[in-house]
Amino acid sequence: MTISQKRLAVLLSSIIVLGVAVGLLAQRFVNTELQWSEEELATLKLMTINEQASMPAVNHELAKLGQLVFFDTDFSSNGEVSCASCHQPDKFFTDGEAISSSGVGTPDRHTPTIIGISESPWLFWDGRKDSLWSQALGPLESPVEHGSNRTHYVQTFISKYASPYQKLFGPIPNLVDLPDHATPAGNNEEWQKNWQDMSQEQKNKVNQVFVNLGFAIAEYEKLMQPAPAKFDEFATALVAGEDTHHLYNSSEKGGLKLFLDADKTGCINCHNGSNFTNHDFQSTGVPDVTRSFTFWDKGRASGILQARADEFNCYSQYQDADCSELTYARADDFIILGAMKVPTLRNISETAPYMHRGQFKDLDEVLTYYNKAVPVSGRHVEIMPLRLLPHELKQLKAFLLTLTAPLSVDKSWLDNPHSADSV
Amino acid sequence: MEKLWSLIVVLTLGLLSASASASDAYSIQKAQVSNDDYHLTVFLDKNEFEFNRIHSWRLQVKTSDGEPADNLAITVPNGGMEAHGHGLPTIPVVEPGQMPGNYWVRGMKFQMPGDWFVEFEISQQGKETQIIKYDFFVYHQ
Repeated sequence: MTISQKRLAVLLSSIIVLGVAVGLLAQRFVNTELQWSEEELATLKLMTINEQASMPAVNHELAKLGQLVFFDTDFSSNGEVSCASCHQPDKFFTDGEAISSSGVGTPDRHTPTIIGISESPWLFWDGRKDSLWSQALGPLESPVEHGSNRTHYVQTFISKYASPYQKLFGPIPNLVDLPDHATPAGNNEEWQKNWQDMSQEQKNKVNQVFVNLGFAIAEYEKLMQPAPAKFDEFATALVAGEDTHHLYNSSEKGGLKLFLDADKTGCINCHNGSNFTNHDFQSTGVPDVTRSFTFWDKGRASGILQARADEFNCYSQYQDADCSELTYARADDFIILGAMKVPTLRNISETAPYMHRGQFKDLDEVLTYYNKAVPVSGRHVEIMPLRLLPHELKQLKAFLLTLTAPLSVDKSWLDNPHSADSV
Repeated sequence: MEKLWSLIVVLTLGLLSASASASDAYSIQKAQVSNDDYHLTVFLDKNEFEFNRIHSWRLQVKTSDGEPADNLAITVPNGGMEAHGHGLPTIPVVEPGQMPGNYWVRGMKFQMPGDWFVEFEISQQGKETQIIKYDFFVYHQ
């Protein structure tokens, strides 16, 4: 072999090696047709929704009463706060703030959406309530949310809505000689003293009306179910073996593939099921920095103790329900210290900011955090850094953006029934 | 004759499981675990077990010589998914059943398919407490 032949051989070898390298890189960065395993398809089947299947049975008359209360600012201490102040229909029932400024004070945690929440066995970020109706009562008596008290709400309820109340719940109980302001909750000593001075019979009557108020709000909230999104269209077609080329682009498919990868990203470990949540509590180690101090929120470790002690929990006389969730819930356990409820990812692109204190302003910040998550000293943290490449993060985000869909409920349910336009 | 009955039972179980809704039902791949003293069998008595729903298992415990093991104090001190670093979402409680050697494991719940484990701590008067680790695979039915 001459020198020129050797040079040619080296050149050809180099071209081949370069070609193979470029091919491998191209394969890595360009999604060719993805294959979906049986397990992935089975998981996807559990995650998809259609409108009819996702709508629970709802008493529309009760929901209508609930809607009236949901938008009624008379159910607050200053006459300016309603449920809709924080759970705004045009923002998918969130408020767009890290920590809401719409209440009478400043709460500790971010406003979560109520869409799909009726499926959850636990309510609030720390799961301190175990039913939707019971949850609805919490913010009413919170000193930093609606800020008023039980007797005020009960009297407002039966005076403003006497007719639908009687139709739905029966005769209005005799509540004469009731103090204007009394409650066993909150931190107002005068209101608590007034409550203590009431007879047990009065307390029982007030509690029952108060519970009925919760039933009405909960029934309205049950109407707010997620609607099928671009993801559902793609996944349904994929599971059915139909052509999906026109439904998802390569980036969205790549993102879904990453999302389903329990080993590589682990997203699916918590965000599974049709609401993209396992309804459990996880500690993500997200820093709990608030406006004036830094502390570790106990999260679920505190929430389960409150749920067990709650006067309106599953064991209470006000409902006949299966209380297994409360009975077998983990408590006094290191792994739930600081753990927060896994939120739904439905409509995630429209419900920023994110996490239990709204720590991250957009999805990029969330994904960046998960990509670099580090252990937190002295705490059990259940996430590992994803270590995804930049293009993989973009794919994951592209997939997350396909989970949004306008609510399919009739628009009249989203309007404020007290506004001039609705009269 | 015994083989014929076994075949009928297997076919019946197969038909029953095939008729169960495939919505979010699960099953487990392995239902037995043993050590020198005990043989444990898990039964999913109903046809359908759903992810994210609390339910009960029936646990049958036999001694090494095949006799039903009664009067055991059984707890579930540990469990979860080792690969994902998380425990069980609940604290199951084991109660004696009506049939000899049968127990109910109340409060079981799984959020996802995959490799799970639970530990059964078995105490019996006059015997050393034992922990039997039961590894099993949960899958969509």
